[in-house]
Amino acid sequence: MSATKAFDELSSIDASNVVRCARALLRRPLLREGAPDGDLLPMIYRQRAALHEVFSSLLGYRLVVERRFARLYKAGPGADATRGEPGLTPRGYAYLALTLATLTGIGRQVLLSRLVIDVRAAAVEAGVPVVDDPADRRALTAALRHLVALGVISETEGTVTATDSTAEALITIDTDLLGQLPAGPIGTSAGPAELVESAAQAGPRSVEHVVRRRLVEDPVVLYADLPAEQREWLLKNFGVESRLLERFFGLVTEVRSEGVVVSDPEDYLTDTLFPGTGTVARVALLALPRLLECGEPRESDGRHPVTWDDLTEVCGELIESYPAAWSRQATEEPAELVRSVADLLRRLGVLRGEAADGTATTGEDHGELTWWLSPAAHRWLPEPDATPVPGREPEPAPAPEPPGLSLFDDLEEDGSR
Amino acid sequence: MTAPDHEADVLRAGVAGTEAESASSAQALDDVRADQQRLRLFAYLSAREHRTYLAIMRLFTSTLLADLSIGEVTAALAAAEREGRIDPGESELDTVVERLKQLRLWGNLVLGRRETIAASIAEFQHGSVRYQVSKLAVRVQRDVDALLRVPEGAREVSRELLPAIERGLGEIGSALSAAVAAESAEPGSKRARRTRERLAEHVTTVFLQHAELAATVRDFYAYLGEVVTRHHLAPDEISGFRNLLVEYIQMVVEDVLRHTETIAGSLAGLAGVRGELIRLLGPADQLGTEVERARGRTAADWQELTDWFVDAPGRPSQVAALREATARAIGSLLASVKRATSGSGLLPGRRGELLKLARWFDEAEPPEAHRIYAAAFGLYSARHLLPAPDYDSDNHDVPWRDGPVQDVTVSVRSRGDRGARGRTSRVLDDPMTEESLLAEAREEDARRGAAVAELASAGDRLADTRLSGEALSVLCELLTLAMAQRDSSDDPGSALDPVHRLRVTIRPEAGTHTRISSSAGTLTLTDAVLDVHGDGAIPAEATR
Repeated sequence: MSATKAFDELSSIDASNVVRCARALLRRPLLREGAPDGDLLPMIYRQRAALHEVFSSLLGYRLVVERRFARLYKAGPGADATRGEPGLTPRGYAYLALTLATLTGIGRQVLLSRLVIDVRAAAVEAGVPVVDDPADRRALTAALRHLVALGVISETEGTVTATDSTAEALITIDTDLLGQLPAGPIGTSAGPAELVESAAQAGPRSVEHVVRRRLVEDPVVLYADLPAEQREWLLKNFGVESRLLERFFGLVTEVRSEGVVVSDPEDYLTDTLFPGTGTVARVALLALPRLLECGEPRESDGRHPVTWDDLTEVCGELIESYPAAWSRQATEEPAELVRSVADLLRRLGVLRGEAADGTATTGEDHGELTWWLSPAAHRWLPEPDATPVPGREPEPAPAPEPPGLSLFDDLEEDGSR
Repeated sequence: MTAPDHEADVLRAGVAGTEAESASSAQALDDVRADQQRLRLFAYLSAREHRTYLAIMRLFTSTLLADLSIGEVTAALAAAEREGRIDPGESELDTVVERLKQLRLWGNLVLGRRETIAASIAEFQHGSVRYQVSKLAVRVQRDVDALLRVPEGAREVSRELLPAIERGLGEIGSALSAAVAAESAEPGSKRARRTRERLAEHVTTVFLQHAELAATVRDFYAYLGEVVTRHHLAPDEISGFRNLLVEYIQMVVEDVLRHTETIAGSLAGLAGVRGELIRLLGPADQLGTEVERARGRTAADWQELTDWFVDAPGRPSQVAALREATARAIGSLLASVKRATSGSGLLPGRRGELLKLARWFDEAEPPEAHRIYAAAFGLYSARHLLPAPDYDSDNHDVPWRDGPVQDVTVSVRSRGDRGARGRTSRVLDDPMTEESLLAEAREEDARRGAAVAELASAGDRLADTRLSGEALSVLCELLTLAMAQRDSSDDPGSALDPVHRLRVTIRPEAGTHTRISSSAGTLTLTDAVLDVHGDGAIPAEATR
């Protein structure tokens, strides 16, 4: 790999350090002191040359490394709507942008009241209507809290959460971090759709970068979802890519005829742990084999059709089969549980809603959409560690079961171990 | 207008405040009307034909005591129309008459004396009226012209006035004492009048200088405020700011601070004799009460001047405000210059982008907003599925449904999260192999146990018993160990199976042959005797 000369010349210890830093940056693109993984900053600074090279040549990403922070400028994720901040509403996002706009001209410190006044003034300037009601204040507070979490602002005195108490909060602004926040081509885009599209565009070695970015960032990449050119490239190169992902990012590929799943053996490089321990994650995992049986996969991409009713039914059965296993909230509001399960599977790229015209959509109108399960859902074989409560049909054995396992299953259920 | 304000007004105007409460509110209403009337003086500026109106008003304000007939105005406008300063047709007589009437309606012009000498009957009929400009309209027009002339950039602060003010205040002090001395020596004398006039001269000068200084400072900081809150800085602006910053602002503030102390001292001195001073400057008897006095003739003027330079409790002076504003401005300017030149930091030009972004966000549906956020900020984490596959799991020809799967044990026993996530360990938790190995070991154990039991039960009757192959091999194993224990072939030796507590002892005994027959063959020991001791319970334990 001539493109990564500096990396190739590193000793094995340094190379593994670079890999570790690269993984931290992929996990947290804005890494700062005092934040999780912030203790890696000295090492990132030391290895910045190799890291620059790795990111720019392999992914076409820009990397800014300073002693106090490191920023990896990722490209946009395109049509994926699950990469935002779950806590922010459109109004919250609007306040985030307005606050950033206001902070650009404010200097180092500002009183919270002044900041809020300026943000509202900026809102008027931007044409965003301001109504001073609790919902609006919540949105603003959520935006400010998000900025605190990013480290762009900090509360020197008081706190941003107490916006309507009389104690005045003093906000300190990290202007360096502030300047590193916007990454996409906002200025040159005429509209939001164009921004989303152009942010996801890659540079000169476009096909290679685009596909590799998807492998590195996305949980499931199906060949059928890629444009013809990218699909051909990936089909030709998946062997090389496997080795490359492992060497530079410590990631392991799982290649099947429908596509590629990339995983991290150390369970680090993801913001959504799945399989997970929460009620939603466990229900989602146990539901997969049943859901996959609901319909035969379609020819084009191997996705299995499911209906919202299937989801509801399977989740309902699981709730009844293992009454002690789930959180009270889930058992009391099964509809909410189904929605959460669907959302989780969508985040993981395992479930996709399609509108009537066949385009992938992120619409919220669950009943109207056609739902498709990715073939990658077959990769797990969930095994409950207890038998379902009697009085119900036991769960049918999950689909393709290697014969050797039945011995162990029997032993397990007999309690002989 | 609130009642106290109104009362103050009444007192200030020197009118006896004897009106009833109802009268005062009526008065307030009148004031509002009067204000409205005055504000109509500005109406011509926003009228459609404002160029004509401006030309007319300039004509009237260009000379002192302008008193113009319609004919004269028309002639002047004809010249302006030829030069293109006003729209074509605006200098026609009828139009001019119309414009002048309108201006009179707004209050900018007042009727002058009626012209009786007309060049023609037509002129007499049309334009027998002469117009003059009203006092307030002159003020408005002067401000308008000044405003139109002002360039966009910063206004130079008249710093040089500071030493002049400082000196002037000192001279007021000495002039005042001279005037007081002359007055007490010879009231009404020529000398007393002269000293009073000198005093008035100094006072007026100081107030004019201060008014100019305050205006320039205010203008300069207004400009500065505009600059520091603006964020589209061009490179040449930035270099300009550096001069503005390090040289000019610093200079202004230093000058102001240097002179403030002396000025404040002089003002404090004059504060004690302010009553005397104002008395000497005298009431403007000859002008009546409805008069706008020159600056410095009332206590309020002096208070204002003092407040500009000297801090009062709870009310910082303008000098303090200046100092504070400067610190703020320098901070902001430094920040903008640093941002713009260092390359890091949010470019000031991004403010516009971010405002645009805010609008997009606000108009978007939630999924769209998430997409925009991810695209605009790129702060999302990489996301992958767990657990990682085996290294050999690339099966490109196999679909997922047929490929190897990841076993995941999901805890459904309780709400707790015991062992639900992650892969099952391949080595430690491979139940099949573990089970088969265990079974193998158990079987092995059982076979050995049976063999030992057989040997033990044979015991003394070893020679008469036909052993199984297993038992013989156990015997041979122990025999080997026993023989290895001996120092020489003449010593006895023994070996113990530690699990089954079976002891085998071999003793040399010349001439004795021990024959042990088994299904696997016959073992013959020459010149040796073999003892096997075992505990009957052991075999049972061994087979468990």
